[in-house]
Amino acid sequence: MTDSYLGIVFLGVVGILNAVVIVGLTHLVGSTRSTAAKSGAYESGMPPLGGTRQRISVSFYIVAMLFIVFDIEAIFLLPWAVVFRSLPLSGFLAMVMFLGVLGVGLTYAWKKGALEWD
Amino acid sequence: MTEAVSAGASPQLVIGARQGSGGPEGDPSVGALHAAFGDAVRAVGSDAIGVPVVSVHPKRALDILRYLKEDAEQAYDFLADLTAVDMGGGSPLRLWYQLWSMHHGRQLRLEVELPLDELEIASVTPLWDSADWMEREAYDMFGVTFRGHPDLRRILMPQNYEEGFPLRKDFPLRGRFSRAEQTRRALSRDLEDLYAREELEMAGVLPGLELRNVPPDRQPKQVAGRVDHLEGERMLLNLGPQHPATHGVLRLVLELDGERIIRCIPHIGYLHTGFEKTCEYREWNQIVPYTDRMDYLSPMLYNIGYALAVESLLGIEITPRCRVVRVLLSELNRILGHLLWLGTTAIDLGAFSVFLYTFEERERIYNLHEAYCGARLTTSVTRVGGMLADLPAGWVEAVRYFVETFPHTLYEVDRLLTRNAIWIARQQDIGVISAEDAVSFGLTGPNLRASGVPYDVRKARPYLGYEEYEFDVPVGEHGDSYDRFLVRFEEMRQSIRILQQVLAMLPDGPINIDDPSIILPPKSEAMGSIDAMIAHFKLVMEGLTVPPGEVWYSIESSKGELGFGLVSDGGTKPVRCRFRGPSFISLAVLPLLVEGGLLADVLAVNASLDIVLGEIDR
Amino acid sequence: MPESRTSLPIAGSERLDTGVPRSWLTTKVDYVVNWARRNSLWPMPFGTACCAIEMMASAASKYDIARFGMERMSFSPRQADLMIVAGRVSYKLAPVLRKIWDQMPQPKWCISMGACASSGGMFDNYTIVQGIDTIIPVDVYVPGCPPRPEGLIYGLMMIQEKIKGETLSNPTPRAESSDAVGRPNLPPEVIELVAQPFGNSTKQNRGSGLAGTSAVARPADRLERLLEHS
Repeated sequence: MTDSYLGIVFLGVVGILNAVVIVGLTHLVGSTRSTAAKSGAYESGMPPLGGTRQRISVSFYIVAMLFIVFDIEAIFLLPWAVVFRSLPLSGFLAMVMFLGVLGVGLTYAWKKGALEWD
Repeated sequence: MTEAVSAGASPQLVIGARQGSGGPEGDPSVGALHAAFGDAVRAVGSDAIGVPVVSVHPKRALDILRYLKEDAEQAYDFLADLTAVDMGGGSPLRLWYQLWSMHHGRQLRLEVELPLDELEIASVTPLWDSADWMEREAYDMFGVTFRGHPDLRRILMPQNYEEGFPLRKDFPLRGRFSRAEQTRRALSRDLEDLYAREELEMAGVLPGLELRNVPPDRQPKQVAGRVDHLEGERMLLNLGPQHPATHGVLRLVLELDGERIIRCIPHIGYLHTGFEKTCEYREWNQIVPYTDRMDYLSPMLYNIGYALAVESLLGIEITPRCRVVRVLLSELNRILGHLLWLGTTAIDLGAFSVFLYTFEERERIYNLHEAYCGARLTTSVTRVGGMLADLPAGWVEAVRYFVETFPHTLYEVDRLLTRNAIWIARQQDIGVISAEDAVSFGLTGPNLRASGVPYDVRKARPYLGYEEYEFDVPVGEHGDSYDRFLVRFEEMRQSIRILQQVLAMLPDGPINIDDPSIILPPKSEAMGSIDAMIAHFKLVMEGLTVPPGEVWYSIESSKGELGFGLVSDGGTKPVRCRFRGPSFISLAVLPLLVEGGLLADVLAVNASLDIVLGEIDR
Repeated sequence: MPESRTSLPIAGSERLDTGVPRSWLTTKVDYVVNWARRNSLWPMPFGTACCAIEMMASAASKYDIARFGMERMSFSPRQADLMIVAGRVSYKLAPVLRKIWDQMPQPKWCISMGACASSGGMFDNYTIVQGIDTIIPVDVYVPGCPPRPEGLIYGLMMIQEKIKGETLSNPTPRAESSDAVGRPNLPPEVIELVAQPFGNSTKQNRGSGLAGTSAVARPADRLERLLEHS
């Protein structure tokens, strides 16, 4: 069992090391000339108009929430799909129930118009 | 200078070299105007191609134009161009209204003279929506005030431009300020110069907001009651001028509610190059390189259209071979322009491969350009009276090979896009414009034809012998982006069809006319015969002289109806050189198409209008 | 020759790249850093007119700048190294150009592509900036109207050569001060000098070709005057 997890551990270590080295090296040898323009907002070359503390339209939140839910569902589906042939019938039924619950939620959201933009 | 120019003289129209059959008085509209308006009609003449030009009193101009538009016998429902001509020397400013009747197929130009101390006239925006931007440009360039215009502010120059009105003859070519001063002013524009009043007010909706760098007495006023408690607040966003998908330096100020566009205000002028002013300081043949740089996507169409316009002023006929070669180059450039439209539209919507395929085809056409004139895209290929040279040996075979192999790429792109679910979802029923709106907004070319109006200058007022070729003009139905895509796609196939016919019947003979006072004689003659050498010397040192006259000549460019308004006073340089770029008119319709839609559709619609900023901003 | 950048005090932190004397170690570090920088340039296309089309052609299959590592065009200045100003710049666009340049973080380089960006080109009139080096510092000028894609690629390779020659122990090329933000790159007298008409530009009149004025200054005279000034 340790062997199969060793690969993931290596992946994690190398990934973190990679990020640390790149960012660290840039920090050490990169030039820093910080000016007001560089920390200001970019808006296609024009000075931005309007405040930053705005109330964002609620449709963005709804889309984000739905995305998270169905993304997690996909994440659960993937490992199950790999092994489901070796699972007994109960494994299949468990996933069907899971999808059913989420399907009910999807139908509700669909009917309520959450998938249309406002 | 002719009589038309001297200050204080009674208005005289410049009579051109050729008249239409029956003269201007034989034209039904002229007769109707005399009958209906009597002495409000001051003078009648015709321009170099026989279009009647009627000069009317400024106070009655709006009534006359309304009559011309709404009367069933006149039905001038299309305003092709609205511009002004400053003859210089203190003489009155002449406003031109170039009209076309879709129904009756007639052209008419109305002219109004405004004294320089009273540059004011009623706006015609209630009649034609295309007048909106054209009147703003006339205000910007000449200082004419249009009473009743909804939003008369500068369009090409920066908002609070202090140097004056550039196209006036008393405005120096390099501007009134020194370069250092112009640079300093350019870099010290503040928010009030960069945003229109209504945009500042839109931003001021947010309670308690204070604009940076703006003193308290110039803060925009708060508009009460525009924010619903449950809605998100509206955001003002700049799309451009530096943006990958605006097809140039176009700036759109969008008021957004989430993803939905509430208002869209285009700002242009970031590429204003002063072509029209600069060309007044160039000889007739020196203007040809300038025409390349306006529509740099299909440059030969501009070269050819300009040469045709000057040739109509001169009243000369080009040789049969030149006529056919110009058709060949026009259609090749139509394909070139459409290929770029296709590639950039596809890449805007995510189809990157199509961009690479179309650019590969464009490279093949660039090779043809380069073999002919030495340049890939700034071709400058026409001269007044002919072309810069005859076709090189083997060039026609190269075009034949292109014509045979190009349809395969079209077929591949067709398979990739036309029935693609994503493509259809992003283009069908997006940016719909009705036929009436399209005509009122002055749209031409594929933008107009996709809405169902079958108007193509090559069929309506054939030039270069287009009536002898068999080709169809694709016309759409729904006026949405998808129809515009299909129309342009099919136009490329029709261009191939024309090219096949051209290649089958390319006549031999001289490419240039045999008139050494207009076009350079062949080099061998110039070195040999003394007459030819003198003619060569005169043409090069002094420049071509065009007799006094004026013309508004249009051709069908890849983007729409491309008009050239030229006024000559008998000299070697034009008095007025007007370029009516179809993209300028097309872009004005963008707010109508995107307001109420989603942000992602702004770019799809913008791409489907096929604009080129060089000809918008000139 | 006037410097393309005015001399400015260096703001920002003092790190390895300030006045460390060159030695074997720093040259090795230089080599690696410069190799990484020049082979992974992310260009920011500031394309305005015809030159932009040739720039797009350079990015397409036939002239492919992806082989230089530059296929990832960055339209956000925050992630870009190299600004390619392709096309004519009007005075209305000048503040946008300056702002975008200011928003790019160091290290950054600039290519002025085409005659119009380098000097105003064939447009010596009221609206075109007579050379973007009056507004932003330029590293390489690529002449042409428009330059062929091979020309642009040659300019890109010149930038790569320039990067090869940089060293962390000389901070001047990367110097940037907050005072310079939003201001022109050249002082007013120099702008007047470089923007004055010369050659055919002096003959811009409405008379006939025979009635032209003679050239006020030839390119060689301009050069002398510029040298005098510096």
